[in-house]
Amino acid sequence: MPTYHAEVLVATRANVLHPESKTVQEALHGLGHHCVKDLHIGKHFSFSLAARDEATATKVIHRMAEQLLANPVIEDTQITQLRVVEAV
Amino acid sequence: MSTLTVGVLVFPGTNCDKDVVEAIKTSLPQASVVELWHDEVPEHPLKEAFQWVILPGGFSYGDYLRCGAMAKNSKLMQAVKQFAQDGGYVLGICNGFQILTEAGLLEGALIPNTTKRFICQQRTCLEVASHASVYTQGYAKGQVIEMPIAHGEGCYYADAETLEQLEANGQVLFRYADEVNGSVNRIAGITNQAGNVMGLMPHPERNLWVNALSGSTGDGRILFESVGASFFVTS
Repeated sequence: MPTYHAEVLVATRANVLHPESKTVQEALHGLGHHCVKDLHIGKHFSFSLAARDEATATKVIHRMAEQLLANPVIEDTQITQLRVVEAV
Repeated sequence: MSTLTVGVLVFPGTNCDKDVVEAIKTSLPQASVVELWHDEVPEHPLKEAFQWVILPGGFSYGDYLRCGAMAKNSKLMQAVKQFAQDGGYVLGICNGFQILTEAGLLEGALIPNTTKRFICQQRTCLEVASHASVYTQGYAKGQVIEMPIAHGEGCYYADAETLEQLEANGQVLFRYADEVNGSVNRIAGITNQAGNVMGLMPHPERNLWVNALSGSTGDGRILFESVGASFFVTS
């Protein structure tokens, strides 16, 4: 079974207030970076997993997000990278 | 008169369990109270031994990942989910409320306070939004009461549709009298649609005592006595 390397990003949905993100954006503005907007802080998960194929790996990751990695009420999950690291 | 055995859940990082045990002993001397450790898998369904389980405040599993996220998957919580489905009373206080929303036993989510600070207040005024609940039947509707609060992630959030349902069904039991943490509709405590599961961010177990000046009962005590009234004939 191939081994995949996955990078997963979980972030608070845009319409849900996230004070930490807001504070960091304001701090950047305070440093003169007024060009910054829509700043969102998220959680980055990096791991490897064995799966039959890419579709299965994707399905398993979304299931894990639903069960633990994310709170579907307020957060969205995005697989930012999924690549084979070991073919067998 | 029937029996009431209360189970108080203890996760690594729970720190209000002793206060809750004391609250039960003080408010409901006829009841029995037992602490339940998070990884002890009960041999029998909780319903066979308990009528009420309480998830106290604290920082279960160090609040890793999100408040309540780790606790919701603990072995004991699987038993609590079944207990709730069987109609048992489940109360989550502060971190316990966060666990219940994470577990899907209550709707919505608790997110960081909009004040960007951990809020710790000995006296926070709450309005009793509904007294048609087993948990609030001892209060008068609209009564303004006091309970301490202590939380960093107590801002209640629910999408517009969920919020509308909660309000329409009378599931909102307590509101903050003033805006304190950014909660939608100033929500401080809710119940599920069936009415047996309740969560609140304020700490009723920290306001138990009779006020020497007014002679009135501690406002938090009434919540415990309200549930007790379903089991015992109170004077």
